[in-house]
Amino acid sequence: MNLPSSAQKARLLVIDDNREFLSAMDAFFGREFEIAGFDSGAAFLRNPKLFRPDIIVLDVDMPERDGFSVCRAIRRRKALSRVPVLFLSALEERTEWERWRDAGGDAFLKKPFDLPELRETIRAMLDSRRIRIDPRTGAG
Amino acid sequence: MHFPKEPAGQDRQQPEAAPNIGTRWSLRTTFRIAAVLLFAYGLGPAIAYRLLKRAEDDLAKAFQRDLTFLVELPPLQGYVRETDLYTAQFLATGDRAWLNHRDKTLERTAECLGSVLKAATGASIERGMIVELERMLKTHIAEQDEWIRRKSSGRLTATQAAVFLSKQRPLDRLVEMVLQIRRMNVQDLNQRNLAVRRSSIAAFWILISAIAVSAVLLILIFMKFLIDPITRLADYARGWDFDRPWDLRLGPAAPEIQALHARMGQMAQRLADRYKKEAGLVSLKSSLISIISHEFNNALSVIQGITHVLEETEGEPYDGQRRGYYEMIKANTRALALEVSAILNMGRLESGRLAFRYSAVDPVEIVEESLRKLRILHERKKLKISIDTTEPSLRVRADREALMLVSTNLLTNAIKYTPLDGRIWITFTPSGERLDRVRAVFEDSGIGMSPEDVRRALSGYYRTADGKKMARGFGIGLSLTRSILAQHGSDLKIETEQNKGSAFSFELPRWDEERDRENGAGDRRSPTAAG
Repeated sequence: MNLPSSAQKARLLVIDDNREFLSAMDAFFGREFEIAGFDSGAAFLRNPKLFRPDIIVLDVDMPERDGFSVCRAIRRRKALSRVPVLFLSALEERTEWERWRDAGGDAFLKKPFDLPELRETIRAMLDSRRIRIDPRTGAG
Repeated sequence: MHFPKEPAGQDRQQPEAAPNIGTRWSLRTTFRIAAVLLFAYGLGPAIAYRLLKRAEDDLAKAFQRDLTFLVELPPLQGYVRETDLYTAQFLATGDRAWLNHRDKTLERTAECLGSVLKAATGASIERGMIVELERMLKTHIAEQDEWIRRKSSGRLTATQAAVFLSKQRPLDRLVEMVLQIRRMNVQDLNQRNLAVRRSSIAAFWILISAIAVSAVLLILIFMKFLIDPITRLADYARGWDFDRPWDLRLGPAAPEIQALHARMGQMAQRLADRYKKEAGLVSLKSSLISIISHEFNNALSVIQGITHVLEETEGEPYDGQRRGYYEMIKANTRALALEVSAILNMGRLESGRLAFRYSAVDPVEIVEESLRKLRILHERKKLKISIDTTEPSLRVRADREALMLVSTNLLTNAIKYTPLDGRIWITFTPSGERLDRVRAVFEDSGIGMSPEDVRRALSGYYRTADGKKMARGFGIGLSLTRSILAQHGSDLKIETEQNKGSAFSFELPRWDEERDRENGAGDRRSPTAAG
């Protein structure tokens, strides 16, 4: 139902406490995706039906509720439980590996990132989601 | 300073111990007691030696006496017999030559008796017997003398002389007495020998017990008041760690060791304090590094990403979006540069390498210049900024560069924490009783701070949780500002209300042309490390 078609832009949700970064993400991906930015997990989860994302980019280092905790909250919601989550953090990936896997994340990129790499990762995650879901919807 | 006064600090921690002799004995006293014990240890052998010596002397004397008896008594027997013989010859013949012989023999008898008497000193039985012997001899000789007188005067008949001679039997008793004395001597000698042996055994035991008692007492004293407390102290010191308080209960110990214990406690306290401070500093620095890397990574991500976008869209028609991209790069680069400069200046100030030169500075000009530097930041947020002053040519006594840092930091802070379309007011007004100071206020309509935020912001590197949401920034700017103001003899005051705004204010001395030109201008000095 929310499955993106080739004609429809995929929906990208960005949660980062840094508003400067949110507008930068808009500049990076505004042409390719439909983007919604929130400066905290709570701001998004207050009314998650407003935006049904196909992929979520989550900042880890946020005040009050960090990215891992927001991811767990997202995973608890039925509609969002299968949406791929990409973590962005200034922390070392190796040391955080277990934590982001446990939190229910699908990928992790270290800041500062290379834009083509981020773009490739997001595209790959969307593709794998399509492959994963297609047979089921085809069956249904 | 940060230390409890003296050993009292330690004593207070310990409940009053029951008065113990050991705790009152100084090391000096303990060593004196040890010396007395050593003296006692020496006294034992001395007494033993003296006992033994006396016993040996007694034995030697007894031996001498017995020898005298043995040597002198047999001749005495002979002399008596000789005297009797000469007396009998005279009585029989009337020849006076015999009397001469008799006198000589009597002299020798007296000599012999004298030496035996001399040997038998004291009130011993032997002496009594010898005195008796002497008395008997004297009686015997006196009897003979009577007979000799009778003979000399011719009143002695031959028959009477024969009767006298037949009665003359003193010898038997004499011999018997001498024999008895000799028997007694032998017995006595054995006893004396036994006594000497007993004395020597007693001396041996006195010696052994003196050594044993002294050694045990010495060991006990040293163990209880010296070795035990030192061992306890060493064991405790070995197991002690920085995060543990020094709370050893030493027990009885010499005052010197107690003083050592107290000093060690103070030292431990000092080490623990230093360790705590260092550990705090390390965690502060690591959190600072974490904040810095977070901010830098965010800014660098934006710059890198936007550069890519610009590259990809190169050649496309200029639609106004590209202008926004360039401004994002400029703003992020400017913010990074300001942050780097704040970090560097903080480092310089803390290491004492930032020197100040005081001169007449126009604060309005300073603020205008900082705003020019920060234009890219405040223009993007569309902030309204106003500078007000009651006097057109207000001058303060300050270091120009340092005041520029203060102004830039406070403005950066205000811009960061004020949302879009907000306001910033900067005012300078004369203050103080004689209006010889200038009060500067940097006020904004930003997100404000909680009292806890203010307390922590003034205590070091800090950034509020809400502040992180709104914009990037460093607590380092506020720390630097406070340090610089402290060097100017001023302090940063914060008045704030959450979601209404904040006002940062400080006061500087007004420039006094006469006073400051003489002793103020050109005063360049290196401040001590900011604290």
